[in-house]
Amino acid sequence: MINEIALNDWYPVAMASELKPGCRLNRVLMEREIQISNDGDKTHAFEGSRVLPLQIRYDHVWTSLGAPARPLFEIPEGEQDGRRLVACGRVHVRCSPLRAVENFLDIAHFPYVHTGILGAEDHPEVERYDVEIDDEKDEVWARQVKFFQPQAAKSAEGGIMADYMYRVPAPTTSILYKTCPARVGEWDIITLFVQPVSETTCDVWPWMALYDDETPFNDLVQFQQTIFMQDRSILENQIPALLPLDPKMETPTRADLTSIAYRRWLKRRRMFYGAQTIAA
Amino acid sequence: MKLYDYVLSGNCYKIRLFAALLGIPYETVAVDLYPGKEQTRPAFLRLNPAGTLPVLQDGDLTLTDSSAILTYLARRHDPTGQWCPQDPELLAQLVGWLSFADDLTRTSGAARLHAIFKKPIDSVAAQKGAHALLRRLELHLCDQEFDDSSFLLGKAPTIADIACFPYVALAPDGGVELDGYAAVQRWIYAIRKLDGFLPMPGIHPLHEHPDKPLPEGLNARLEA
Amino acid sequence: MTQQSPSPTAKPSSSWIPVALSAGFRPGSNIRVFADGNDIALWSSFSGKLSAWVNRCPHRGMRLSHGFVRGEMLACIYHGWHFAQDANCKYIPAHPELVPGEMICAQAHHAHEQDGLLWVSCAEEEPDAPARLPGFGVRSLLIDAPRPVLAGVLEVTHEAQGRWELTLADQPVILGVQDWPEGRTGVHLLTKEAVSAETKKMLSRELEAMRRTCEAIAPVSASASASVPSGPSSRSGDAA
Ligand SMILES: N[C@@H](CCC(=O)N[C@@H](CS)C(=O)NCC(=O)O)C(=O)O
Ligand code: FES
Ligand SMILES: [Fe+2]
Repeated sequence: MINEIALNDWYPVAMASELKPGCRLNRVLMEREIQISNDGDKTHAFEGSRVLPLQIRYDHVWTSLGAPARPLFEIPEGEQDGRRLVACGRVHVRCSPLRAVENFLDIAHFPYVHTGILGAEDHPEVERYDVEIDDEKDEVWARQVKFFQPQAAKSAEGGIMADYMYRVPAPTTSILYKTCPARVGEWDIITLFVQPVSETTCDVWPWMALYDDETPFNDLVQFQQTIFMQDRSILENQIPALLPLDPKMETPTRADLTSIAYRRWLKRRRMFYGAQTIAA
Repeated sequence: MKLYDYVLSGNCYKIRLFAALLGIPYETVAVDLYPGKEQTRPAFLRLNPAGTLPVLQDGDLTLTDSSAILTYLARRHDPTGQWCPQDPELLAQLVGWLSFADDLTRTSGAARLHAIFKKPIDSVAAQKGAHALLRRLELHLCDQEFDDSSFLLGKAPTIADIACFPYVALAPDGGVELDGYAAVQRWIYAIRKLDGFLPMPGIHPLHEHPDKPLPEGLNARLEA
Repeated sequence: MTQQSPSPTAKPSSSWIPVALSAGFRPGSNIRVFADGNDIALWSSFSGKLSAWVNRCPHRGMRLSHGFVRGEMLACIYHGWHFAQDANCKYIPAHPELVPGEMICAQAHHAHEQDGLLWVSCAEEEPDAPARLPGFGVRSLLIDAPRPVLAGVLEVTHEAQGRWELTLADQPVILGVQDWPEGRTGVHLLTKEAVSAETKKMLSRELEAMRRTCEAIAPVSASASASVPSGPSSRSGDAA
């Protein structure tokens, strides 16, 4: 079910670095075929002959099939000087775009899915953290999230209690603010930009803005790809493929407060693309 | 020793896995296969004109094929000869399986690249080809089980197992499910259970190892 | 031949369905099987107790067949929830001190081991055990053809609750027959008497020959055999 809300949002469809003069990229956005082209000095997006809105930010090309109701969200920290911006390409996943976002908001899976990197089996506990739906900004936030991590980042040496904040500025985008191993008091930024291909398939574009001058670029990309490919085998095996919004369908616990808020927020915004609204 | 490596490559994983099993130290150079297509750039092509990973450099020696690298590491670092047997019959069969492993790359590996990165290939043909190979593997592994072996050759693991393992275990990434290949699943378990086994994204470590106890909190509660 | 063949419509929906061979299903195994069109996680505890559960974790819907066995429990691979034999959740790693309520549980079907086969029933009430017919497991095989095609090709001399008796290369054998999704059929081959490794190898090839015959008659489309049964629908979208 494609609803207005979903239609009128901004979605990532390419990396800015793919825009070579004369290029023509074919993409599928919410089951519709669109084209991105670059004529040397300008980039355009089309659906057939219809011109689509377009902007380039955070190293990605963003477009919309409708009339975007609000501007693309801001990530002010991501545009600070001194950060390394790392676009990781895209990974195609056979799951709902919303399941991909929700998995990114979840820390409880680290010990079993990212064993030895983001979590360890003998440190599985998720402590209390704060979650809020910010009505003014219309965003979901989780703060004071802490988790033990054997290797929190490519640059990390040894296990640490990592501090996290999560922010959902749009239904298909998730931003993670994470303890920065290289610069005390700063947050590294790791985001997941999700392009809904259909309700049950998506393209995921991870992007990072890090304070890390040491680690080779390729290692940063491949660290992120490692993590996301560990998630992919989970995401492709969740049943149903759609994200259930009926609270009776699945069984959350206190560790899932972010996911509960995210689902509630989707329901309130009436964002149902990729969601299952009636219990199967 | 230097391995030019890409974390999501099954062919690179063969080398990382084997080096881990044998405890061979090495350093890695991450090559940006995706999204950067670094293997197509002049600097990399000077290293390996075939434009593929893995590449291994040991002193003056440069090897550019995963089977060649496995053979080299086995002959150089395994004095027992277990991993690359010299018995004429076994060696001949081993070479056959190394070639089978390349067929797996072309089918299961290609289907995976299509599923993950949308590499433009005929994915249905690749998946069909992968299933044809899995059937051959299943038949052979059943034979081996009748002779009380869990591995491809003789009774012990060899580089044939290592070469075939990645694109079999990663087949589900490319939409090639392993349900119904009972012997193949047991073989995957046998390899994951080897001492020093190294996982990769899409292949879990052996969480179900019999030596792994129940979590402490749970044990305490069960005893109470 | 057709007279002796079992009825193509025979679908023992409330009864036991053979889903795997006992041989090779070591303690600690956990695999995905199908019975009556249901997606099932079939697992064996370290002490050898067999369970068959709806293949879906109550927490966030992960397939339990991807999980791992620890002692007498099955743990889900996603967040490590541990479920005991009674299907109740006993441990939630994110909250190690919490004793999960009784309502938090997996959904169990019935599982049974007998005569060299592992059996599953999705009936409400556990059915009576299948009739005795001892066998020695050889191998399992998935065939891209539906049950009636097999029934037409094989000369079945006797049918007993999900098993066909017949002669394969002069050996009296038993075939456990299991419907798979998308018109495919799983078969589990057993001999009536213990046989040598050489005989097993020979029978294994005979069974594959039989599969070729069946698939030549009723080929299941390549895309069906390649897709994930009852998995997420796939639309691969654009090419790079
Ligand atoms: N026969 C070679 C094949 C290696 C191969 O296909 N490597 C892939 C990565 S798994 C690769 O480098 N692909 C790059 C490309 O095809 O452009 C080997 O086994 O090393
Ligand atoms: S989905 Fe099974 S433990 Fe979370
Ligand atoms: Fe994850």
